[in-house]
Amino acid sequence: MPDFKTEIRARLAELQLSPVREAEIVEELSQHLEEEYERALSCGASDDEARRQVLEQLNASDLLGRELKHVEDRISDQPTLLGSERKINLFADLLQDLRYGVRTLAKNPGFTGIAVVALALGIGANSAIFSVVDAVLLRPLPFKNPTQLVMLWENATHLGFPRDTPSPANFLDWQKQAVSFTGMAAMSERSFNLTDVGEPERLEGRRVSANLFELLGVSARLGRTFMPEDDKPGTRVVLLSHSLWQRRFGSDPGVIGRALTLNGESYTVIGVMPPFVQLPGFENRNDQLWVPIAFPAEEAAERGNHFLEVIARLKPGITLKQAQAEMDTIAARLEKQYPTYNTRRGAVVVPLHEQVVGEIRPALLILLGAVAFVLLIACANVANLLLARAAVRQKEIALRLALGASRSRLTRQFLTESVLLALFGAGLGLLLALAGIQVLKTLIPVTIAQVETITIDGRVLIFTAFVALVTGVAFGLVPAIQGSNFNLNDTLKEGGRGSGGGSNGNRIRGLLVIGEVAVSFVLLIGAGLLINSFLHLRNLDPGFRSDHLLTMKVNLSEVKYPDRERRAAFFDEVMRRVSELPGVRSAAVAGNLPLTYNGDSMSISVEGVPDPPPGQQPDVIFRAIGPGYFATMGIPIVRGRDFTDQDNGDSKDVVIISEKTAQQFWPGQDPIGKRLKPGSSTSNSPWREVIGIVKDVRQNDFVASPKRQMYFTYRQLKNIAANALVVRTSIEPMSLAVPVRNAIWSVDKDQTVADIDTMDHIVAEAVARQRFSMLLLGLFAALALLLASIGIYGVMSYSVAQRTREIGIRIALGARRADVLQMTVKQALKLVGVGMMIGLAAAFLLTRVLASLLFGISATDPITFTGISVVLLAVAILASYVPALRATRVDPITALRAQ
Amino acid sequence: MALQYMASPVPDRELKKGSAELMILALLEDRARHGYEIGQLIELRSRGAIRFNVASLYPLLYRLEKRNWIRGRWIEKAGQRRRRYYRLTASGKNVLSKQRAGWREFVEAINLITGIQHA
Repeated sequence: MPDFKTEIRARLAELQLSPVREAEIVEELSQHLEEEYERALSCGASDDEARRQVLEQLNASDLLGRELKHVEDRISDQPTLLGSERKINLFADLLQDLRYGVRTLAKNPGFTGIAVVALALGIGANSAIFSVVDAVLLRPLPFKNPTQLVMLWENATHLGFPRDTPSPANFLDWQKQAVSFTGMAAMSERSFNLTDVGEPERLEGRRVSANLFELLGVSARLGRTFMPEDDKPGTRVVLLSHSLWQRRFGSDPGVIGRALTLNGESYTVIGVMPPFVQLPGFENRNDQLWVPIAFPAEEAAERGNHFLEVIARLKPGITLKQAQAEMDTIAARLEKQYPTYNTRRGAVVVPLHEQVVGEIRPALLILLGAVAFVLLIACANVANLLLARAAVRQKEIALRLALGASRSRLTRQFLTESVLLALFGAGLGLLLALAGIQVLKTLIPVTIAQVETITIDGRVLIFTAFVALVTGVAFGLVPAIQGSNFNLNDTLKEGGRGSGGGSNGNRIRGLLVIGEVAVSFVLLIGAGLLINSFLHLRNLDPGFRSDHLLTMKVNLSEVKYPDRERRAAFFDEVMRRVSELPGVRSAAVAGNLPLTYNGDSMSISVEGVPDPPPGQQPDVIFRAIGPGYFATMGIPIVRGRDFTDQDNGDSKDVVIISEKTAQQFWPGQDPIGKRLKPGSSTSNSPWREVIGIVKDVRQNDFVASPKRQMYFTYRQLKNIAANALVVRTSIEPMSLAVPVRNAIWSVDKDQTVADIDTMDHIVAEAVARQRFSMLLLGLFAALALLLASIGIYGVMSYSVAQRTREIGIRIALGARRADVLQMTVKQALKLVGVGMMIGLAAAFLLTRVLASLLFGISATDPITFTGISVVLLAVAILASYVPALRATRVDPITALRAQ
Repeated sequence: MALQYMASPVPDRELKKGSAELMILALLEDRARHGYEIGQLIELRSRGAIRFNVASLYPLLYRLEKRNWIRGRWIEKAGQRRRRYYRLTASGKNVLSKQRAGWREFVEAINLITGIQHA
């Protein structure tokens, strides 16, 4: 018998019928042709003749196809019978499932909308945080072989500086003696006043060893980087950052070779660096220009003055441990050689990556964990929705199974639908992430590296797609297995009652709610702890009154103002003009305002007290200020007096100390009139008489408790100039920014004025990292709470709808509405209670990772734990109250009739 | 010589279609039949004058089915492979009686005009 089926199928191909319909037609027509064929044979035709006769019918000018085209639909609307006998074709199945999935989702816009939004929130949060983690933690630093790069610090743990900036002499010895490194370079912060290009401007930059850029593997975008011969005192060449070149020089390639006036001296531009070159260092700063470090001879001999940042590249094959061991040996040798300066000073090797991201890493990882939790809750919600829908779709499923669909095929279909949901969620989530990243960039503390490079790139897209697939499978698997695994007989027996997935489905729904509550409880506790800790931080007394204070940096050029007389004259005139401005209460000259600078300390000796052995002299932070500083800042003078204009180079040398300094050096005595001097008692600097005691100020670090401090008047200092202005205002401080700046320029039109800021903002910035973690974790916890309450609401609504009949009977039998209300809420609270217990246990374990981010409270702070429990309980009651109220409105007659 | 139905010289397409529909409906009036049987019966009863091509018969059947005049069902009989049997639906019966009356009137009118008399 010839194979007519193939012939027929070939003629049907272009019609694109649904496979089931096509099979039917092929079967029917082939039967017909076979009988014709047999009849022809019986009439005496040969095999070939019979076959030709029969096929002629089919061939008549495409008649079949044309005729059928009018009758048959292309792929039909009816659900395809899954698991039918046709061959398994994964790809065709997938396409079919996708099409069917899109249609089913489109038919339930409410369900689809809620699920997609929930997933979008979860996935979007993950993409946004991942983009930050990727840019800051995962992406290699933009240097050649960045894993070989390390930073070298002096270890002065005994002074509270486990990573202290090395001194030049020590650095030069390291450079000479160490063999573990292919190169070692030093950097030192330096600010420049740029004066001859438009408005004078203060630029942050660094002096760097000539080999630095070669060591890092970064070459100039334009011109060249430094060469060894540049690294000599007196060579005045400068490298510009890409952003400075764009901003101040209009990206002019002709800038190479041009002369710039920096700090009153002429420098030649030799190169422009590529964008986003951020040199690592003690703090992540945004350098705008670089000059050779070119140590003058006296600086190169300096061993007690610590201000360098040192970067080195490990030789291939040398491990961190080996390098550390060598540095230990060298440090021990230098300690023996120079006990005065190096007693108890070690050297420490820190991988560059750790140096750059170490501070923010715990916060980011915790946030990544938190968004994963949020996604988990979103998944639980969607799984719940799918379960409820699977219950509604039971008839469809039963029908398909009865028609011979295999369970695996059904599972696949459900999974396709959930992955589809997740993909839609991911699409919307990416849009949310795009918006979120813009917000994140403003929240991330500026000190964190690589912030500019945060973006949705290919890696983030891949991550998002991966997350979408995993979540799609994760939240789809349970309902899919559940949906395809139920007992056909039971469903048919339960008939149209819609008993909703039976008790098994209810159990899973309950478990999901418990999980959601537990996870959100952990997140809420985390957020609660951070918020609480942040409040503690903000309530810390900085030691001054930060409100109504305007501050700015006024760095005097050493060329123009080489001595204290000229500096004093300048500041006196500025003070006079600023004080006359309307809205100004008082103004003062300052040196390095609190929380803006992390250095300047010295050891001191006290008159009449024998010097402690080297390495054990207590360090005291010092600041050079002008008269009226304490009153303007609102720092209370506890005893004695403030500096006056009469404390100058011609009068006796004086000092004002903080309470802590007083307690350290003169415990139980009155320090007023006592004398101290910088360095050892045998040094040739003059004794200074204590004339006042002021309250401790959070000077270098807002979080740590204040260290010992002392203040000099800049009029008595030869080498240290004041560099800032602080103004107490009676009006909004920022509104005086321009008048004050103009007052300064009216004294010297070339004087730079930088970092105009309010003290309130400086204090806020000091806790920016903590605020960043707190805000984001708080946001995610709120999201988790919202999703969890939607979950509770959904499950209780479903449960009430399911129990309508039971509730109707209860009411018919005389149950009061209050009883029904109580019963329903109680049911919800049972789930919430279990969830909270699990969450409580998990929180006790998990919040320990938060400990490093907390301030002033423990990771198991009872107030936070109690407060959060109350909040969660209240939300849970609210979420179950609405469905419960609906339950009380069940009309017994309708309820009974409806079944 | 057997007349290929769809290739008939009668020009009016609608007429042909209508007559073919009528024939099928009429054949299904008393019992359900499968497609091959319908084709055979038409050929037989027209004494070979009208023959359906498989490529036109089935599209026609499907069209009638779609109009809900006939309904096909796969039926398995012991020892045979399953076949699709078509039977007349209630609305099909309705259509059949109307079309029959229409044809009778039509044929009578033609006869009146052309003067052809039945034997």
